[in-house]
Amino acid sequence: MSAPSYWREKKYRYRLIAKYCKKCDKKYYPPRLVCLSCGNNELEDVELPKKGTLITYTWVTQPPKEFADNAPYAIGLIKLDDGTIIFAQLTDVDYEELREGLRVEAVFRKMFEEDDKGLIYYGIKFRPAYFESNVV
Amino acid sequence: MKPQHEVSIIGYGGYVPIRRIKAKEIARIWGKSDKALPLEEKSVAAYDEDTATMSVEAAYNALKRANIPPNIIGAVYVGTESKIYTVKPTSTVVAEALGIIPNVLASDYEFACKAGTEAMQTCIGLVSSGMVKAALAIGADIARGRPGDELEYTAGAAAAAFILARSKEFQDIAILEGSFSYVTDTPDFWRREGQIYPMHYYRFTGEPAYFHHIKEAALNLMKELGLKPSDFKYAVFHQPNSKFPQEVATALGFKPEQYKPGLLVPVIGNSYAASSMLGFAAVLDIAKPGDRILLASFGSGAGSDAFSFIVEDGIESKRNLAPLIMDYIGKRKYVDYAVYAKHRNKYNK
Amino acid sequence: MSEVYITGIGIVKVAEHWNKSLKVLAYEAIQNCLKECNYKKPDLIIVSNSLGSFIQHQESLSNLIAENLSFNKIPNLRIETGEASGASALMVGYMAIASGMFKNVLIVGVEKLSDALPYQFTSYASSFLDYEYFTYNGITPASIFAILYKLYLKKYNAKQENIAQFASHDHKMAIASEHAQYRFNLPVERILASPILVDPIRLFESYPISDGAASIMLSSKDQIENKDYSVKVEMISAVTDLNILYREDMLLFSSLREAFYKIRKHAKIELKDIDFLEIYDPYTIAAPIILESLGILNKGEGYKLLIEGQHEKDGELPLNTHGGLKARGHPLGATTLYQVCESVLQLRDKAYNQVPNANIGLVHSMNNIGDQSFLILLKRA
Repeated sequence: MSAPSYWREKKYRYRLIAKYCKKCDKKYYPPRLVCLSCGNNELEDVELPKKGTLITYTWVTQPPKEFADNAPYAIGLIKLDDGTIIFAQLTDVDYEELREGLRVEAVFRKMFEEDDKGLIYYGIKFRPAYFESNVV
Repeated sequence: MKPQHEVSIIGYGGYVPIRRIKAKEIARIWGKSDKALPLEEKSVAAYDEDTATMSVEAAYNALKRANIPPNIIGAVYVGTESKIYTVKPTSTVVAEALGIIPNVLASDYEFACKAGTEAMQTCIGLVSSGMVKAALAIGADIARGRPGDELEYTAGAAAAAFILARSKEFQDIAILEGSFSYVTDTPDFWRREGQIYPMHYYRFTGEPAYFHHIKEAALNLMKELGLKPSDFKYAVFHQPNSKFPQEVATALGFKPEQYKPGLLVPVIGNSYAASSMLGFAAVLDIAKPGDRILLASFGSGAGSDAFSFIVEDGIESKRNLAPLIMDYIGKRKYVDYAVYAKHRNKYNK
Repeated sequence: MSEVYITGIGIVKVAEHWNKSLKVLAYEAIQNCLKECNYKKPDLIIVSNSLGSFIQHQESLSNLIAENLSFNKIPNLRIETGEASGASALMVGYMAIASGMFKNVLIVGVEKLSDALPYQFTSYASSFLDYEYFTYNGITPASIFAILYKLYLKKYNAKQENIAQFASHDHKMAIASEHAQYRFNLPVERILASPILVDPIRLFESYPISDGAASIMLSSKDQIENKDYSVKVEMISAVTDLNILYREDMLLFSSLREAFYKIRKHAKIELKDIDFLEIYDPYTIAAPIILESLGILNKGEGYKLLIEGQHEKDGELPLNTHGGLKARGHPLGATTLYQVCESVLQLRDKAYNQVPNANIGLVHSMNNIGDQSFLILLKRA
């Protein structure tokens, strides 16, 4: 990934900032340019809630080369506490701990590195929510 | 040293990675006896964690307690000896991730394990002078232990963050009474450019380094403020292993009930720049308004920063706005040496 | 508007062609096609290829192929719409003829996936998604299908063995098909015992890594020489879908439903008129979702015809009669061209698994997770 293309999107990736259409009260993450419902192209930045519930998940054992050293890892379909649904990588969780309905929270983590000379790329992953009861 | 305008801590927070490895497990790999190990277990940062990611979580907790919008923070300093890049400050990534940019001072500090408290001193000066409204000082490290070396038992990982501002402008958690910094050129522990692991001089790091500097800083602080050990409710020291902080505390005249609450090294290891600051945060988690707390860090190379804080009323309402240090410590997952080595990149790929 | 016919087809066996380059594979398919249509001279050549830029470091592929094969006096185009590049190449060829601008359009789909290392391939395949927010987070198309698989199994109380059976069906169909990559029986037990690729998708529920090339000559009606060999391209419809996160029902490709509605309305046909179906299912879970999106089966019952044996060549709705993506193979940019060539064989009564009285066939193609759906309606001339 080139430095400029990494740098352009960092606020969306570092802080889980979505695009918001005031007219329709709809949030879009990944950020969109145009509202799906009304075509409004003046969408605002809004920070998404950092906690959510795991709808379902899978376990990736054949990662793309960027994540070769990180594998295996879980990918989750998460419903954030404001109803927004996103895909995200999960971390600090073993396969056995994964289950539907798990409470999860956003954490700032290293995604991957270019190589030992290049940039380090950061983003948001989700882990089982600390300090919230995850007992069904 | 006293700042011209009074300064208080208005927010604090910490972070300890969830994975732990037992010292016994490390001893097992290297065929060493599991008796007389320097601690029980230490924290292990995951493959996707580094000084920036840990700092962000600790600082996020501090912000929650400070209860201020991020953009009034005018300075972010990360004290660490495991910078994410050798050139490009960790603090810029942290500031961006917290929404503090762009009207901010930012830099990384290095002074081994006292880099974080150095950052605190700078923040105290900046807010007291009125140059910035609030300042964030972070101590964070993923300590590197050379495989098979003594330091591998204790090289841990954690982060601690403090937000400082002029007293009485926001809700104060603890007010600074004064500080004393004592620094000399003492080569007890160092790392040359390009080297992965540091060098240390074994027993030389004790008396002439750790003990001498902490004692000087703490004794001079108490002399300046006209205080004696019994005036303090708690005393927190830098914790490279279980023995040293207990020895220096006793030598200075402190009792176990004063220094034990801040002693975290037996269960998380030496988190270097975060070490004493995290112990201080753990003490704030249980302290009451009016308690006086001594914080004395030690950084190899060498120096010590000693502070005296008095806890304010704000602690009661702010304490539970973020996870306590004991909450993080209580969340643990044990890994064996192989998984530890995988996460800490000790395999030559 | 001019009517559009397929006057020639050419297929190369799907396999790992270590010693054949993109050019060579394209050449072989084109030669087979030209032979069939008496070496007609095309006035436009369209190349379909998805990952040549990454894997073979080759951009401008259509120029390379056109020039190398001495088609240097005509225009050349390369069409790319991810995995559905073959369908869109066909669509552009159709428009070229229908508009009257061209009389004979040679289309070739060619792809070589075996040149890439497995982890590289996963990266490249992930490039069909939004790189900055999907691959960046380690999300691959396979992981999204896996999540859909879980949602499907839970929502409809379905059994994985019923879904895995689609792969078993494809393998059975491929045994008689000479150009298929894998021509052996694959019982459901073996599929379910294969290693997990991405939970719950098993290795044998996923498409293989293939190289291949398939070619078609599209012509206007007056160019037909051998009526028995030609097949009419009745209609092509294509609909772009929303990002999967914003679909009302994640388990339905509404773009496909829309595309089928357009076909039924404009071509004035009903579902019962369709004699066989080729679907684009890179993973078994895609199959029931596709069939439900087409409205052929109710939600949650996408595997009903399969387990009743109605997808056999003499069943109610013959499906993937030459092995589909799983067994015939899936050389991305060439795949839909294969699907169309196989349909042409059916409509000429020359298929390996001949469907009796085959008059109308429907070919489905899609990009990613139904991000764009294509339907191609073919009729006996």
